[in-house]
Amino acid sequence: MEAELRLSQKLEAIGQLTAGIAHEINTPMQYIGDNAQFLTSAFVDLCDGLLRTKRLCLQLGGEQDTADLLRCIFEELDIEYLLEQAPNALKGTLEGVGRVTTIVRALKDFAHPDQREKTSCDINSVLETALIVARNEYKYVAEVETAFGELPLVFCHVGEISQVFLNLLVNAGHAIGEVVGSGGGKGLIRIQTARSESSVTIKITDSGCGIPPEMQDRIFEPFFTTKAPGKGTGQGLAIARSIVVDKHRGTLTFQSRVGHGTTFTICLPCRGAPSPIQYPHAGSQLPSRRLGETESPDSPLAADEAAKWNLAARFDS
Amino acid sequence: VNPVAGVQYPTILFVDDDPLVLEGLTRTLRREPYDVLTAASAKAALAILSTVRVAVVVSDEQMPGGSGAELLERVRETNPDTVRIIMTGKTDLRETMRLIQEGAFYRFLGKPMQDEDLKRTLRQALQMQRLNDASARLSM
Repeated sequence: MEAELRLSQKLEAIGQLTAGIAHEINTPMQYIGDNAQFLTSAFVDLCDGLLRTKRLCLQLGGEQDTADLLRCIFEELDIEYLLEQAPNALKGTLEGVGRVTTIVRALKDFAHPDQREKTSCDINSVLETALIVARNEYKYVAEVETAFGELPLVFCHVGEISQVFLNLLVNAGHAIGEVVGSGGGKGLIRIQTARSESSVTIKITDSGCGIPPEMQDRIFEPFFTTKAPGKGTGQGLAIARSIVVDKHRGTLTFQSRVGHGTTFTICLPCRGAPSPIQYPHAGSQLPSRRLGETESPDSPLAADEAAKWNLAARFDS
Repeated sequence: VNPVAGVQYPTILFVDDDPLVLEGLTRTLRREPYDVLTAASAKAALAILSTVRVAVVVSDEQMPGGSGAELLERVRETNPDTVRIIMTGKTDLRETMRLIQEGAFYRFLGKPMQDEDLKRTLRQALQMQRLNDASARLSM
């Protein structure tokens, strides 16, 4: 109980800190992006002009010395190479801007500092966010495969549910790391979501080391850990269980075979019939497959509204 | 005024305390049919607004010496025909959304925005301004 309280205070502090940092990062990202975009188009224009100048110069007659000098300059400039490479370099920079922006948004989604009440949320997009945040813990050891089913919105504490996913993903990464070591091989983390009449099921499967039978009864105990000292606090699964079972009246179960891997299954109750999902806050993060299934805006006004939401969603993080 | 064609372009005013942001935005719009002006503070922005006919003002949210929301509130009174857009790197947008609902400004742009988002938003803002002008003329 005390550990839980400490954790929730800590999460809140991290959330506030994250919101502040996100704001600070977003401002320079604005002009890094603007400038890279400007330089890209300016560079292409400039090279185009130079290339035409070069052709003209080489056609010109006149003094032999001047012609040689010009030829020399153009050779040194190697406009063709620059024109081929520089836009790529700038394109890479813009991609970097996009990546940083995504990470900042995911961090903030994850931290949700002021979210004390339950809200309706799209579990699939919460999982996508958790995957981005946890990426560092698994990217060298595991590939990720997702099979997201169409889900109704789930009424939950989104910050806490994110925490559960994060804990399970980090554990999955560590369990696979035990098997593949630093040999460069990769395991697999598979995430599936599905719905039933009154609940949503999330399965997180890893191809890791598995949990020995003698430990299986204890993994949800606070302070129980199999990780090396300093690597785990033994709180992760205890807190995950408490969030899922006590706070959301769901279930958290697992199946594990040593040497084969583990599947954790979370079941969260959702109210009544699956509702048609509207995604006001998920926006561009969603795979188009699911966007296609929502009502398509057909009047210009609706399209405008959708564009506004989309814009809002991109930064409502 | 476009010196070549002699056409009067609509004026866009950007307000941000970070000069690098202003430079970046100005460069982004270099080929767009706008006259771009910039101001580094709310005070400087109001000075410009009192002398130049500005079609759209795009202001940052957080600035020393007066928030963007306060500035746009003033503009709403002093220059009611100017379309107001807020720009913010903040991640919690509940307050911003509330102000939009109240009509404090027309749109918001989140930092960082892609140049296409900026251009599209400005086009829409100008379209709205033209509609406002037309309806004002009709009701005269």
